[in-house]
Amino acid sequence: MKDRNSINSVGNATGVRLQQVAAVAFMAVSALYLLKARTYPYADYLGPGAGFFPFWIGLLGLVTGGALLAEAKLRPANRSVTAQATPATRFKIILTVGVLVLVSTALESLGFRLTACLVILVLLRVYGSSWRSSVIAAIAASLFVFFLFHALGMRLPVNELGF
Amino acid sequence: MGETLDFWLQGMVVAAEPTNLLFAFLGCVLGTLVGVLPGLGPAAATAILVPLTFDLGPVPAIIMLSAIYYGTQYGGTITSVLVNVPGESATVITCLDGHPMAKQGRAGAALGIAAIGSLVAGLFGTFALILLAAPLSSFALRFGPVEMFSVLLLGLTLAIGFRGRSFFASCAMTLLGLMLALVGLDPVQGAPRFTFGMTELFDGVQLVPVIMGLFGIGELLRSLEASAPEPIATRLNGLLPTRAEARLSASAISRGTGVGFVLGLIPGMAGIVPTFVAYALEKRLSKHPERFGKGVIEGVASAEAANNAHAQASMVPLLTLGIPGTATLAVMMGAFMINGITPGPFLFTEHPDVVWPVIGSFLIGNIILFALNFPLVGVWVRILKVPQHYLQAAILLFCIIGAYALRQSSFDIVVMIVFGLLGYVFDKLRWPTVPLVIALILGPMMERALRAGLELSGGDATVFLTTPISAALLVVSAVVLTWSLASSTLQRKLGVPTNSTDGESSSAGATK
Repeated sequence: MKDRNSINSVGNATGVRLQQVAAVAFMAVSALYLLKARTYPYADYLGPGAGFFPFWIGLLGLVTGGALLAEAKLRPANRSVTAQATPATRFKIILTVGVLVLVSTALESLGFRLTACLVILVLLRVYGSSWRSSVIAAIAASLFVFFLFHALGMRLPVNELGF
Repeated sequence: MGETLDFWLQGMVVAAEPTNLLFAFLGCVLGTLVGVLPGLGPAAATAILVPLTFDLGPVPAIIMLSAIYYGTQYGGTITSVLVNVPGESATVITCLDGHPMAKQGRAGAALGIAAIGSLVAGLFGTFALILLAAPLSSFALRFGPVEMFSVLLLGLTLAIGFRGRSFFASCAMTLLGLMLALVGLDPVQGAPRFTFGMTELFDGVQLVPVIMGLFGIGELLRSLEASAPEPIATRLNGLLPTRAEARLSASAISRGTGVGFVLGLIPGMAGIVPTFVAYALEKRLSKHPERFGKGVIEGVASAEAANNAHAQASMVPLLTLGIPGTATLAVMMGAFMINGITPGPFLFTEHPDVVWPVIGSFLIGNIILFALNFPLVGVWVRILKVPQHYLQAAILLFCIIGAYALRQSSFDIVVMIVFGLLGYVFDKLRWPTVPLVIALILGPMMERALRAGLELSGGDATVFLTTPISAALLVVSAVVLTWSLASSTLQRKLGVPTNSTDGESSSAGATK
């Protein structure tokens, strides 16, 4: 089993690498932003154009990204990132995001109540709740929230079957 | 002054209408309820409750949101005392003595003095806000586009300066927020920018899905990695401090209120700074400083008073200059803007019918919160025992509604998902998200002010240095940036750890 120092070193090395990747990603975003900003007019007869402010923001972003990369390379060993997810929690995170993506595609066709019911049921089961509690909570919560927002004057989508 | 009091009294009359009282009450209950739940900071808690206010109209909506804001602050205090999990960075200090008091069986007294201290500070802060806001706003009305740009730039530099340990990470997040802020139709010429042909982006990147993503979904994804902290098993034996404790607390509350309010006036000042300063001052003045950190009531009293006074004071730069200093206030500002109201110098002249009832509701909200929390504190304690997965599912549901309901658009749910993932990644990187949100809000105003200033000066950029107020503000911005770069470098060299990146997300627990 690895000792504490080597575990910390592995974790820190991963963290430093992540910081470097993030810095490079930020530089890439800034560079693309700058290139796109140059396609808009920098100035016109009225004054600064649509590309003026974005140009300078993109340029500052590029410089800042470079500074971030330099900082990541020069950082001390104990400056890293927060704790890494375990495989179990990684599964929960991926599933949660997957469910959200499905919601964005299905909400308007399935209606809020059905979508919310299914989402809560699936997530509660994955998060560790029993079948019985999950079913009860899913039905109760979807109905309660739907009618709460209805009472507050907000329309949530309904499907073609009317619920 | 007479005119200010007249406006305030008229605002109080509107705030005291039954409908508005009901919304203030609901806001206090919901805010405290959500603030009590560990795993949600006040920004996330306020953000997920924003959808409840969409169709209420501007006055009830903002009254309710303000009440939610105060409610989440007090809810965070309950978790600080009973669970040792601060709801936000400012309540870390409350943990230092509040949790030891709870372990000694004095949780009731800790919560009671926190409520009393918060009420006193809230009332003082509200009256001071009434006296300060209108004159400051009148002064700010003299600002032209040149001065406005410099004020907004100062707001951004303060957001960079008080957040996180890496200066460059704070800068990067600010610039990212500005990049996002410029997506949409050009404010002058009306041509689309950075929309990549997507009509959903013509109105720009919407603030609500971004907030829902960063503070709601991001918080949810983080909470999936952590097990729920156990609240301390304690009976609440009375909520009133003893006479001796009340005597000790009285001066602590007054000092904490003063410190919290003065420091809270500085835009961008994170809540932990005034609470820490107030606590340190109390410890310095105490005859028994060695008792601090082991459960002294003055520690809780000063921290809570400073926290609530700071919360009131930070409304001043928000209302008068349009600069939200914290993530929660950025959410509040978003709520203002959703209701068609832009905080800033023109708020008091263009929307007195909204702003004065809202200020009136601050007073009422503080009193309702105090009256509510004494009888209900036992209820909040029971809520702490709700299994975490129900909370997680509830957060998800409210975030989906919040993102969708704004424009009845599934595209906004996608935006929320993207920012939820980004929020999770930024947390891993320890990059603060508050500067991004503040820049997203201030960016369009900055661009308009910059372009208008340059148009008026015929393209001469030195106008920002030759105009006295603008020059002074730019000098202050330069000082803040230099100071934050220097302190960031020093912290790194000394190996100073930080618990949270931007002081607005819940942390794992407080230590001395």
